[in-house]
Amino acid sequence: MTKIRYHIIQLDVSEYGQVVEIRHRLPSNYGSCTGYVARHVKGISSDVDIPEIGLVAVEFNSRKQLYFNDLVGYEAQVDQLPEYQELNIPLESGQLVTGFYLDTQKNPYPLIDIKEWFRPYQVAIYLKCELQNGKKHVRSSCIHPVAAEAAAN
Amino acid sequence: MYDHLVFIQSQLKQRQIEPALQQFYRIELPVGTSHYQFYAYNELLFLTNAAALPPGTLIHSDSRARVIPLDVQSLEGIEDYSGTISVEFPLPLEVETTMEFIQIVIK
Repeated sequence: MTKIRYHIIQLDVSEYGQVVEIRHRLPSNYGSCTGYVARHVKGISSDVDIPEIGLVAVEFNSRKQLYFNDLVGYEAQVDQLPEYQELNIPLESGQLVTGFYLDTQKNPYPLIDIKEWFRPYQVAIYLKCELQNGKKHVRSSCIHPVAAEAAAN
Repeated sequence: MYDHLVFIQSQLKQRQIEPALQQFYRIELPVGTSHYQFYAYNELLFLTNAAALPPGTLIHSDSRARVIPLDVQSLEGIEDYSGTISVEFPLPLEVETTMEFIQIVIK
């Protein structure tokens, strides 16, 4: 049976128009990534939905594969959690997930200074990954093959 | 100072990208430009003269986004952009500005 693990990458946006860099290492025992969701988690409050608050781009396997570019929106009322978008990315052990989040919010109050209405917020990228059979997570500090093998056993 | 070309070659090797062509690529932007969009599909463009752009300029592509920082003169790194690339200046350009890239066309 395939074991599923969910991995969360949290991004803090503290400035209008900010570019938040993603540089994240997935556990080495993840064999493939099969889905993702990118969504606003906290910080923005609005009575209406905002279709776009930012753009996200994610690459896998240390920049060998650009995989998705997506819009992130804001939902005033979350009735049900969004479904995972399908991916099928074989992961190389211990490689980086990289990319960026770009805040693209538009000022809803043109007469008010941006700094007045902007509030810091958080976006999360949820990755749905499958474990590689029979492989245990090895910390990246275990770089020596003997140490890595010992940790795996 | 490190060698940009050596850095690019090692990047391509690490990312298992086989180049078909490597050349310089320039974009000349006239006075008054505040936004410019162009395309670089199946290729990488390494920006080599970021210091010539006004601080606060946003360069946004499918793979990377970067705001030119205030201390750009002291930075040595070069970064690549690909896909749809848009450049947004904080204010319309007051002087003609050239963006210079090393273009890598991918096989």
